[in-house]
Amino acid sequence: MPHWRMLCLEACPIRRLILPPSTLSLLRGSSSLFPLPSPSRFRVPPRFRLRSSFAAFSSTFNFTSTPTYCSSLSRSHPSSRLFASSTSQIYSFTPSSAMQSVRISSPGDIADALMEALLSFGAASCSIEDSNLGAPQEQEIYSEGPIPWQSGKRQLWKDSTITALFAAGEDVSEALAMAANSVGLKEMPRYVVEVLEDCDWVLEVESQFKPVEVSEGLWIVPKWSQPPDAKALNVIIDPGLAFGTGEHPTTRLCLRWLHSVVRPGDKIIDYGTGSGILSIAALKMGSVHAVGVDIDPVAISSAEYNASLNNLKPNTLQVYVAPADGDDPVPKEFTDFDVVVANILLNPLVELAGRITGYCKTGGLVGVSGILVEQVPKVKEAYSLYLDDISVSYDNGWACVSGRKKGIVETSARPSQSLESQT
Amino acid sequence: MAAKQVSAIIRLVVNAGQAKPAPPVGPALGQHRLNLMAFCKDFNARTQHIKSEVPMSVMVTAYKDNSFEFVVKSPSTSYFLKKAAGLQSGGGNPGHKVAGVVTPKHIYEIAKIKQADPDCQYMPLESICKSIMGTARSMGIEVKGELV
Repeated sequence: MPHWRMLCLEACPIRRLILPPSTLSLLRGSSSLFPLPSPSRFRVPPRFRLRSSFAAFSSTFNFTSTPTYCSSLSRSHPSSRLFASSTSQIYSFTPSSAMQSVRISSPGDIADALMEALLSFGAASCSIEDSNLGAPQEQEIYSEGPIPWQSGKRQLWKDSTITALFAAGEDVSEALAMAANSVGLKEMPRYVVEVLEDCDWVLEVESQFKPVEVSEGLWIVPKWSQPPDAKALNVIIDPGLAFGTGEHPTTRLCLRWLHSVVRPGDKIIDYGTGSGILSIAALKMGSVHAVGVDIDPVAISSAEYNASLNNLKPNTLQVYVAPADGDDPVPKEFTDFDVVVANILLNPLVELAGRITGYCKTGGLVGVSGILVEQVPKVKEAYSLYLDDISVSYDNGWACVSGRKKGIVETSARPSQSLESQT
Repeated sequence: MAAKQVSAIIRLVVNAGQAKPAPPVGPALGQHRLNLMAFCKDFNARTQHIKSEVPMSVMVTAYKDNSFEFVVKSPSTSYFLKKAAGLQSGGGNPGHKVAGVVTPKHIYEIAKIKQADPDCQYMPLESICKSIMGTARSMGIEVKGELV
């Protein structure tokens, strides 16, 4: 692997590797500075990716599922970007600021201290790796768990490279000089500064995403793969900036739970829908209508896009943004859902227990996840006011709590008298 | 647990419960091909007990097979004390001038957060409190009031 790896997607409007005229020998191609593209509100959806060896931007997109490496500088003409976005789905994408990436070589024994010093002097993050990665002199370090926090115990590579990220506009050389000074270096270490345009990092990583069988006969398949079993229940997902590819234990827990409880004709609400994976899976399992809610607007477009990938009829999945002021985003005509699923986090689950269970009809089923095993007691306590028959399933340190909605909700902690009122 | 080959050590600061694939998390971890979504979910879940917007220090150990583990540390005691006393910076004249005031309840709350740290887990709450009070004294912050 090349020493310097920049993962970039050419199709993403504001993502590029720009080098100052001083060189990094591994980067071929023109080193002239390109004008920075204006931050655009468009993002080409992930299905368009270009190979890394292009020299000029071509209007035919080569689709690849392997991560692209920018070993050469990529040119991107604004006009062709517009062409790309006009034929594609528009996501609401908030452009983030560029960052500066500084690669500093340093011997292992001071790399640690230097990293801490850089963080105090303004680096947003630092990482240390072997300078000789990929070369014969590569040094192998093994660890049985996360590297311990206390500096003295860390075993680092003899020739280390520290990659520090700074916000654009910060004076990197000054920060580096102060950091080097504070650890006692007599001279500035060698370093190279690059401007790191905001890549679509999630897409890079998600390109490792393969079809996965979550439970018997239920597969989550990335958009660019063929379902391994055409006859099984296949949910096609395009990974993107929204949460939910099916790989996380909580998604698996919720999918398995849904697989066991969803009956044909059910109406379901997915609170914290992300990519829409749970709603779409439920629709494919036989549910007739799904409503999704999320605080992130990207989830809306992501879920709707994923719904279209699965050939669902329009309006079977409707997604709403939960506003910041906490009002209920779901229209009043949607109530009495048969199944409620919420895969979010402990705090919103506990705070919104009333609202989440309120969507459910009496006797309907509610499942919540996104919680660690140690957080289960708190969730059980909050939800026992509203649910009977609470059960918990576990996967790899994560848990899913589910139960049946009570007929009468108690307002105080008295023993339940509501069973006979359930229809 | 079998030892795995380490490919990189990454250190960054993320607000509790607010990890997203955007910078600073995105570039810092994405460069090493780590699963961003998994990290964000894991980190957010583990920091639910902390008020959001508290900057947490994270050290991620990335392995060659693109898996990773991470350790989360809460911010420094002085950060908490400054926030509790409403100060921008510590006092310039500790011992002589009082720069700010905190209550014992503040100390207790800070100690509870610190106890979750990997370094302090084996320490009794009382000694954590004492060390926080020592830090407060060195910053010119007084502890006043009754513990209710």
